Amino acid sequence: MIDRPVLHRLYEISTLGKQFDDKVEEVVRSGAARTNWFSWRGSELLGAVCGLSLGPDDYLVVYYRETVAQIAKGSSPKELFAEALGKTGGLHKGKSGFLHMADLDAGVVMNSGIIAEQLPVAAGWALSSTLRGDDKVTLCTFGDGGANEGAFHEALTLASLWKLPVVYVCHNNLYAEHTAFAKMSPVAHVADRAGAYNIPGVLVDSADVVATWNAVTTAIDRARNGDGPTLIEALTSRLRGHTRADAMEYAPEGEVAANWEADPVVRFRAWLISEGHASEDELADLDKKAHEDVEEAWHFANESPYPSTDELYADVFAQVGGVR
Amino acid sequence: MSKKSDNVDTVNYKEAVTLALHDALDADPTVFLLGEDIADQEGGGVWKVTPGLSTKFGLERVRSTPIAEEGFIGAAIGAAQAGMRPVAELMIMSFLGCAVDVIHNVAAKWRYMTAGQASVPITITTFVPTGIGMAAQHSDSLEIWLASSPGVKVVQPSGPLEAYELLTASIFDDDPVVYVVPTNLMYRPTRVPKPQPGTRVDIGKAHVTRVGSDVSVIGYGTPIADALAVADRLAEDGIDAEIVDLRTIAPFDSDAIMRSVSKTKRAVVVHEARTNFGPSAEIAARIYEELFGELEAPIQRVGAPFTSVPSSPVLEAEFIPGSSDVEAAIRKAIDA
Repeated sequence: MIDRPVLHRLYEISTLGKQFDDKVEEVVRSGAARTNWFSWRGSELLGAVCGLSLGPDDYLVVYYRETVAQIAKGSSPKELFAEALGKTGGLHKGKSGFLHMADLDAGVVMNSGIIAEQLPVAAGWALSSTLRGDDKVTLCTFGDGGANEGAFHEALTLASLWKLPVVYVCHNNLYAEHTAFAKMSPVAHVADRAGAYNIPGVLVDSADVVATWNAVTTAIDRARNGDGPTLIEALTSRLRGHTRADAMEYAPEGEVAANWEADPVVRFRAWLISEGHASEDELADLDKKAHEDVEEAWHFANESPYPSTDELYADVFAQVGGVR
Repeated sequence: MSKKSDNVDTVNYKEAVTLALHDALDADPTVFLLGEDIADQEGGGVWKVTPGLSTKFGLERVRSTPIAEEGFIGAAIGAAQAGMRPVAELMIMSFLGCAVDVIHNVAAKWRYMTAGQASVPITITTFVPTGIGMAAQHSDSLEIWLASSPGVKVVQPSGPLEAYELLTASIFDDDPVVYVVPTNLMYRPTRVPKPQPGTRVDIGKAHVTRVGSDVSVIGYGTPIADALAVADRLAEDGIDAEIVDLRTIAPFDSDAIMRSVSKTKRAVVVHEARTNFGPSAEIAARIYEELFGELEAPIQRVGAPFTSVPSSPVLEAEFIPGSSDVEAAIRKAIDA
């Protein structure tokens, strides 16, 4: 079982993630700002679990759709939104944009806009823990499409051989870009591939928050105890397309509507109440706070200025010419 | 003939590379090495640049990897992001394609994408074997792939002393540095006194190996190492050549180049990489931009032809730019 405060935190992050994505969608549709920040609707619960199950000193490696885990780990929605809009108040002064935002203060150490490239890099973060002898764990998320990239294969090979303290968590929302997962995977589940690397493979439905929490925390403990990596595949769902311009016409008729009908955050909310883990008032308060945080983030991002053009030329090298 | 005792206090190019790795491992606990076959059990590296290191520093810090370049170079990049100083060996430069995504899209760009909040102090050592018939997929000089990626530094030492000094500088540089070794140069017998541990030269600074007044011979690697002998021959014909060893291909020392060419008014740019779309194209374009009105001859370029590297020895000898090509180019610049 999960402690009540943790369940509330999970909901707090999930409702924030849900409302945040809806706000970005509204901003984009209305033309109030320009961004193609990829939607994370349908993966909020997994993001909340991944971010909250890590300690403050642990490392989170993410990919371009993993906004909720970033927020759970400690990133500010204001700085995320401003970065997505290319503003100077953003995490990286608007120079990264939405495809590879990191937050070193919060321990979100690496992000990748190149599918699966973050997996070997995450192995490197875990390797640094092994070499230093600290007990930090690296958790690395990626989508189902990434499981076909060579980088997945090489990263899991190294992680297994070197018994690295890393947890690989796959979001399987059943679509990779515009193509159905089932059409492109030689195995039924990404988790089935774990045996090829002699590591545990765990399959969970992220709508079952308790099971997902248990799977992720077990894997983190395993890594921290020096027992090596785990591959977790967590089923999520796509409520919105690959990009904000993608209407998901390739999905079978009715599927997207059914996904909305089964909105995992809404169902989690109902479950919390029906199981007696939270009252309607408590959750309404969290919903309201999330709404305010999202509005505040939008206003901050909208009002943040663009960087000066000098910024274009800065930060190519740490040192030019001499060495320290 | 050198006595065995001479070798104890001196190093050739190959030994200089080993010594630089040794001294870096010794000086800084965040330095570690990874690469295929580099541990002593596996022979201390196919190029024999890491013998004794795993025995002395342990298998954690000197680790042989599987054949998974994107994987172990990607891991080295992650460890560098985390504050370590990894040295990853890409056994042969022609294999760069296996890892170029993580070098170009992560290592090179990470500092820029984070607006200066993070660095990637990785060093990648890589080797170009030529003259032994390994041919098309093993003998490329691919500096330009990296030099055209903003955020990566590319260096190539031409002799043993700077082999040590540049590698030390690369390891302790906070940017990603690719250190490219022509294996022919590495096995030459030239010896120098062992450098003091930790000595380094500035990356991005060229070295004038011969001062002259008639023509600037600018380049790096084997053709520049051999240019001194060419210059001596030409001096007998009254041609006084200045030799500028770039040492760093990216970012190259533009000031040193312009200083030299504005003096001599004639330039010859040389490297073992292909001429077409090679570093000499960029260097020549810059010289034309800055000194066009002062030049007394078109810029000559010496490099490999625009073909794959052939295997047959006769063909490979034709492919590799040699001293006679450099001499011919200098004479062409002088006679123009």
